[in-house]
Amino acid sequence: MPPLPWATKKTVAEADPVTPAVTPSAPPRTKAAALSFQCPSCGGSVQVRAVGSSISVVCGSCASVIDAKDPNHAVLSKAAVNMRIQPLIPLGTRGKLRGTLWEVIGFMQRVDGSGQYNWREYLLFNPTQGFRWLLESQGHWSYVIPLHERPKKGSGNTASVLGKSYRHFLTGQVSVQYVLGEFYWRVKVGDSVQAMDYVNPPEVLSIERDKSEETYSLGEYLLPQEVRSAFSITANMPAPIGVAPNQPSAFDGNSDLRGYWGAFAAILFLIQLLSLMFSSSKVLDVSSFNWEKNAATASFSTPSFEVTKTSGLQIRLQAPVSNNWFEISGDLVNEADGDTEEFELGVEYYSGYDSDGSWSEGSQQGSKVLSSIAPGKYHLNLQGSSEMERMSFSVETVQGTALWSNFVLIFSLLSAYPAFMLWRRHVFETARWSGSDYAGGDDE
Amino acid sequence: MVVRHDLNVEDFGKMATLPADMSPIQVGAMGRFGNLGFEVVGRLKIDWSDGSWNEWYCLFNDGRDGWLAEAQGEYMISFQIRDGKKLPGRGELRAGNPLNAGGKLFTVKDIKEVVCLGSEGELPMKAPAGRKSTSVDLIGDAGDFATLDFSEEETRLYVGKYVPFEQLKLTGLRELDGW
Repeated sequence: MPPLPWATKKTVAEADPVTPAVTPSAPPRTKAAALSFQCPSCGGSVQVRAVGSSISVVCGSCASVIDAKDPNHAVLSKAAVNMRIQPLIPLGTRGKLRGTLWEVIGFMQRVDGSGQYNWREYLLFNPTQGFRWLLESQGHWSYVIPLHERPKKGSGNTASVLGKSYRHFLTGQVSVQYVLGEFYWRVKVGDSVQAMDYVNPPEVLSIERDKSEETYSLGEYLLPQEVRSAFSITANMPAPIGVAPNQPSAFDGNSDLRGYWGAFAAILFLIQLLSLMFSSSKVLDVSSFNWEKNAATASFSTPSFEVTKTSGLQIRLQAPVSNNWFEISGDLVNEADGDTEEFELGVEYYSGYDSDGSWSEGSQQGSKVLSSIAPGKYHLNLQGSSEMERMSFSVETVQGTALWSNFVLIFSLLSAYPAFMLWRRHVFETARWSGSDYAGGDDE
Repeated sequence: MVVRHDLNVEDFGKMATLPADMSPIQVGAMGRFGNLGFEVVGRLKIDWSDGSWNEWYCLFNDGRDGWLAEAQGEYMISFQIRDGKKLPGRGELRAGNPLNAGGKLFTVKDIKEVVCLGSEGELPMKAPAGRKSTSVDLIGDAGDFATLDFSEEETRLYVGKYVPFEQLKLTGLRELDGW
């Protein structure tokens, strides 16, 4: 390969460090500034702020879209004449976002395929950082960065870029409805692209494609207050409606809550387990009776027994029923003050043969726990009922049964708040996805 | 070599005056690329149907020369690769095609028909205004960048990286009115 013809070449090391680094062959450039010219269509004054970068600019007076590169400022197209939109953030407004000062140089309203749903985009410019967008849709804001990395499609309707994965939210046709100011491409009202949005709150990845190119951008959710204070907006901000696709969930930061709940539930369970282990059950009484349907004595009584410590009292019934049932209703009588506590208890047992073999259902034993019975002398009064003519049964009274009812109650109360938050999160995510191509499902 | 004068009504139309822009970089600015220092000594302004950008010719203090491309707030430093490897033909590449260059894998990002609007300062070659070429930009992993320039005379390959503005640590920048 022949050597390239060199003009003069000098290395930095050869340069005299004392003399200013200005090469004698090129004079210092003049200060850069925005430029103004007269609109060829109406004579109104048109300003270009991002000189050299903007290639189309809209005349504020007659809405002609002018070629900003052309020294003759040829008119490219006419922007919508029937509409007049006043951008919330006027062109020329400056604001600081993400540590950089931006100037609003362009404004655009775009509309979806149905024509029903529109949103606004503000083009932000900084001479060293280039371009960003501020997007406002249904009162929700996003700070959008053009991406120069090509996202990769993943499995199951996902796309990933810069190490993050995004879920497909919607695909649709998007058209330019209204333009003001300047843009870095030849914008025209009616320009249409296919847009695909993927979300990973607070971010949204957008891929826009038309027949000649594909562009990518990443939007980050901004609170209206952030936009208001950055750009010193005094007018009313549009009220946010619904949940934005990339809006961070209000209910995600509750992992702390889950942690506390988990700890309390574990401690509660441990206490219950210990009480089960250390409770000593003691049989206070075992009595057997013969019940007859038409007997003279309809009720039975156990002898007196002594409850020695406050506990749950378990009444166990045993009756040899076969394809039948037997029930007792009884009173626990406190012999000291005559107080009674009523209870009911039954057993049923059925068995037989069918095409699958033998089967059985129910049990010949049953039990009931009477909670927190104070120490003292008691006995049981019992009455039986059944379809049968007669049944012999036995009743065992046991002290010291550990209770599950307290545990269940406290556990339920403890879980009420997390369950409520879980439900609210479900409602939030359903609202988010109601605007997507997947309305009807939710993100869990 | 095109010497640019301040815009003078008599000269307007006679010389290929470069269109004004808001670039903060100017000939004489100095910066850093990793461990290397560099000085901006020349510029090409490249134009295409949907925009234009600056290619700043830089001399690095390891003796190499390279380019700082500046387009819409994006900055790329690249060096020409002259390893003798066969390069693709002018019409062969399409967006999305892969290419191995400088030991790395790249994907074609876009293909533009460009024209050189003019130049200033010192340059390694003659850059007559009006020189047409096909410029193919490629991207790789982790900010790797490459570009192929196809012209009538030859095909040139440059490989480098996207660099955020802050990392360039530029000094001697141009004054921007209002900024």
